[in-house]
Amino acid sequence: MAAGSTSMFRDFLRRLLKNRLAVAGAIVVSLLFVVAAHPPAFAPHDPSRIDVRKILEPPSAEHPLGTDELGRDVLSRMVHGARISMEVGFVATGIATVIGLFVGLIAGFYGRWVDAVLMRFVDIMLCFPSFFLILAVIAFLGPSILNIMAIIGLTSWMGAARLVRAEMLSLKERDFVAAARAQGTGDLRIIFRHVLPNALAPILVWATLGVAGSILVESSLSFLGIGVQPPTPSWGNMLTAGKDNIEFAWWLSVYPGLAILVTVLGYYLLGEGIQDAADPRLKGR
Amino acid sequence: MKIARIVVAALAVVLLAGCAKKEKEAGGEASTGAPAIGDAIVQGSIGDVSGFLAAVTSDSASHTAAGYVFNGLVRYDKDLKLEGELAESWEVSPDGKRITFHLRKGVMWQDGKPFTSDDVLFTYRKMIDPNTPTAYAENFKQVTRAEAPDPHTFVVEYEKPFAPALASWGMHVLPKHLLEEYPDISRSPLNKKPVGTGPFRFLEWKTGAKTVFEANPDYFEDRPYLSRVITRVIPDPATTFLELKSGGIDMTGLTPLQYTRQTETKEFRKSFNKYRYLSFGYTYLGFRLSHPLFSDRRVRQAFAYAIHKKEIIDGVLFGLGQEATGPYLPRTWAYNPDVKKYPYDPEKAKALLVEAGWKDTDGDGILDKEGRDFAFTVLTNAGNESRAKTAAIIQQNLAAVGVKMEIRTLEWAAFINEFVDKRKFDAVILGWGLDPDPDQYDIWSSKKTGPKEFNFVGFANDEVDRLLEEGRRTFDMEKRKKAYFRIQEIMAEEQPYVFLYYPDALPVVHKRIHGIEPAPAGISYNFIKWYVPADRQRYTTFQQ
Amino acid sequence: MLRYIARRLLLTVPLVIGISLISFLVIYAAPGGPVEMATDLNPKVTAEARERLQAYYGLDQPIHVQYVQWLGRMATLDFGQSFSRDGRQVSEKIAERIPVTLSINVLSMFLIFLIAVPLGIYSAVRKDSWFDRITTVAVFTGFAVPTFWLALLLMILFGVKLGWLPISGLVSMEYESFSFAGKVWDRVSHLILPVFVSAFGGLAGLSRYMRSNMLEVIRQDYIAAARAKGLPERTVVFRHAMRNALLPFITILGLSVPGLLGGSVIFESIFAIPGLGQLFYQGVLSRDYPLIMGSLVIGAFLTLIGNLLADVGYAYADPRIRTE
Repeated sequence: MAAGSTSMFRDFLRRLLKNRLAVAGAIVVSLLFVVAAHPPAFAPHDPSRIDVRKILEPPSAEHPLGTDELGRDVLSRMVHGARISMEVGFVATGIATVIGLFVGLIAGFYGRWVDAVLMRFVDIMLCFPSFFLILAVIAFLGPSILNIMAIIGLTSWMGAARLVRAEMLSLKERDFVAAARAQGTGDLRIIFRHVLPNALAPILVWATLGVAGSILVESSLSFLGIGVQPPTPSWGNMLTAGKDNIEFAWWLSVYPGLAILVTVLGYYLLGEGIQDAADPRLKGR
Repeated sequence: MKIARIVVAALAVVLLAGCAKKEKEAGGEASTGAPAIGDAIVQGSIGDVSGFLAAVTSDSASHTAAGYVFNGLVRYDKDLKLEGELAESWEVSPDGKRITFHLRKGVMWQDGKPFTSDDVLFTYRKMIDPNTPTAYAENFKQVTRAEAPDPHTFVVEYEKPFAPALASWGMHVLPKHLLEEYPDISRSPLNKKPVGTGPFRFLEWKTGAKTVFEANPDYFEDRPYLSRVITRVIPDPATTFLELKSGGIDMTGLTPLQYTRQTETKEFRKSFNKYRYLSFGYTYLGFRLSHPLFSDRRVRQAFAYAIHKKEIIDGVLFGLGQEATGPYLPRTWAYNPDVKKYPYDPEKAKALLVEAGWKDTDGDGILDKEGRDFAFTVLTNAGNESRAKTAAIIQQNLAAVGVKMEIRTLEWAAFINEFVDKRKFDAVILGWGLDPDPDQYDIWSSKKTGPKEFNFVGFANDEVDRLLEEGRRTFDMEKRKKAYFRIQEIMAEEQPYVFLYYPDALPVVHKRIHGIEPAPAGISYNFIKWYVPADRQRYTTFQQ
Repeated sequence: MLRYIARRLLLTVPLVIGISLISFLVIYAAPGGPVEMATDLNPKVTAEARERLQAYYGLDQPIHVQYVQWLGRMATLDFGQSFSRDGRQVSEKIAERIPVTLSINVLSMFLIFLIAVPLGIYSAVRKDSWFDRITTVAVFTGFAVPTFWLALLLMILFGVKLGWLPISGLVSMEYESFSFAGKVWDRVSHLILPVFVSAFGGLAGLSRYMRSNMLEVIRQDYIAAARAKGLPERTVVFRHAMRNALLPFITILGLSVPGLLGGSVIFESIFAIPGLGQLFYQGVLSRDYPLIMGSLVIGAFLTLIGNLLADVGYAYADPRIRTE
């Protein structure tokens, strides 16, 4: 099994690297990681430094992406905003993945009525327009970065649950699982040793797309004024200010919007690439 | 959003003091048109109306709408003096305890019934009725007796002379014959389909979308020239501005940024006139005076020195406003120009803080005392760009003197109900909209510190309490002035708020609309005299 | 077929109960509870009014009783009175906003369908070609672009700079004075941008789904058989492959209802369209709890109906299901 998986992995990697779009996505994602890891290294100015003499100035040598409505450097704010977006994206998706894994594994493994109940629960959650639910909960609890991460996570785990469950169901019937069971291997070990690695690829894809989605949701919330609160910079709330000045200070609208676009696109392309590369049909199964 | 108090509903949208700045930016096109009847004016509003009876609503959209349909006994004229509206004249008795209003004759409700003093009496009774969910009952509760001896006379008596009384009768008069069967007038059909005595008749209310009024040809002053007044609900300011430029609306309020940078093109000036005047309100940083950090006056004064008000006015208002020195507006008769001022002086601020015991002992840039850092959270309401920016600048100003301030924006209802009313805050950035009458009892009296009352900072000063009483218990202007002058001196010393700025109002109106004459009261006081010359009218077909 | 529908309807019952449970939990998680919020917002609320509200919400009763009451109220769509100043019935306010939102969403779905299907098919048929690559990126851009950004950019371009389309609202000021044709065009022109913005994001997911479905179907044996039979490629694609690839697509379309509803919050606010999304957003801003709960539940119901219709449509199209 061990030798098989490394060569499988190498094949996967090879296929992935051949996909130029996926590679582009990977580059974008890694770049963002680097920037988000240590924003001050990439931000030429202090993102909260207000300078009322330089309000809404177009891009220049000193301020490559212009200044915002309080004279703060847009580039620096965007760099720090990258960190916020990434944080929210990852934590929210992390929460969703954990919940989804948990629910899916239990449903798939134990089957029968446990499965039925859990899947109904998934269906119920899917009935609520997630954005409505998120807004409603934020209305009750108040917008804070923690709340946003938690609530996005709590409303987006359903896809992962279904995926994991499907994997579980298909694998449950396989010989090696029966064999392991006959040997007396504990349930948990079966899950971790055999099921999870196979489910890894679809989950990874799902999570990658999930991060992209979370970033979009966070920026929408921030744009509406109930996400990340100013003066903490987030791409979404920078766009709110951009909106008020859209014809006049285009840089304030264009760049943060572009950043969201490129980021989400990067994650998406990467996710799609992983999916194509891991597609079993291509392995000739 | 400001906690506004209704003074005059009808025409004054924003009021001003004295002959302050009122620029009118004129453009190219000249029109030779004479006043003509017709056309419509389309206004944009961020919020929808919630009801048409001003007594039971408190948002400005509702009050503006109500003002088209209803009248009060009195109103403010263009120079902010009280003049009669439904009352032709009035007399105050020598002891100041009785006011006799002589009502106009021949005024009709819009359904044809005559207006009489019974309606005024009815209105008074409703205002003090516990079933009426109104925020404006205070002034009417001071009345000890109200009578309608004949259909055109109304007499009120007060226990003690009460100066704000006259102005309080600017409250809209309600039609008794249409409301008497409703114990709670906010539930009556009139709150959705108003019938008043005013210059415009209600036509339509499409919730969330628009309200439409048409001119009342039988209005007791002259019939308005404009045939229709339409208010469209456009919740988004960016969209509002776009609509203005594309002709979807004719009138709105500009933000300082829009006024200075986005409306200077020839294009724009060809089609629009913009106006500017000191609006009737101010923005402030309020301290919870019982908070350990802020109970020391030196700390509050330090803040006043540390905060760079000019920077705020330049950065937030683009210069379209004035530094505030106290709770009264410049050039109103009660304004005291000689109070203690706090020019920007971070060194002095630091010195005062040191005096109050704050030093940076651990070198982290933040002052501390007895092991605790000087850190607090300021609350303000979401959706107000100016306040958010003001907060950001103050944050920077305070950081420069070693004070750490966190900003938290809350949505309005939660803000007021969860934090302000329950006194769960360190400091707030808010604004007040003011009446022309200088009585500010509700804001500063130590008796008004209960939950939900307006003195939420907890200001209690015996001398001010005494002066507030003095100010409101006489009709003698000189005596009142003395009292209010002294109050301002005390306020300046005590700094229960850091008074930040008085913003300008910046309305813009489509050029085809003539008759606008900026005055201390603003521009809307003579709304019924606005007209569009016949050759410039845009909306000419109206269908029922 | 009928049995299928009947069975499907039966399955909805537990879902409805689940919806009621979750929304019940959400209400009572609200800090301060519903009564606090109501009474705090009114300047003058007497003790009796408070008591009346307590009784209405049954807060003095044990929690399972409260839940049953909530269930009952939900069944009759009685969500109480809105906390906003007008105090109207929540169900009334929602009911008058639904048609607008619904029509825009339905139109969006049409648009998505019209565009995503051919796009997905051609991408699958010409896999890895330039066309495929370009549409991939283009369509992902659609998914990745923040809708509010797109909305504003389009508004500026078409509304202000070019003046071709109106900027906001549902109808123009002079609507009443238009001829019938004029009225129709007026409504249509106001809807073009919102529908487009609403559909744009959904295009990505659905056309990709269509594509991968097509790919899967194309590989199937019966396609190879059809090809072996000598049928022209066109027939192979259209008659056999597409039909089968279409089926799951219909379900997915049904599943996109919640996404579209959620998206309506944003573009309705930007385009000043008085629909459910805008109402909900304003309710959230003003902590109008009854309104929020009502919208949530009704949104869930709409989704449920969308799914139901999708499933029924699927069953109708796929004979295999029918004969079960």
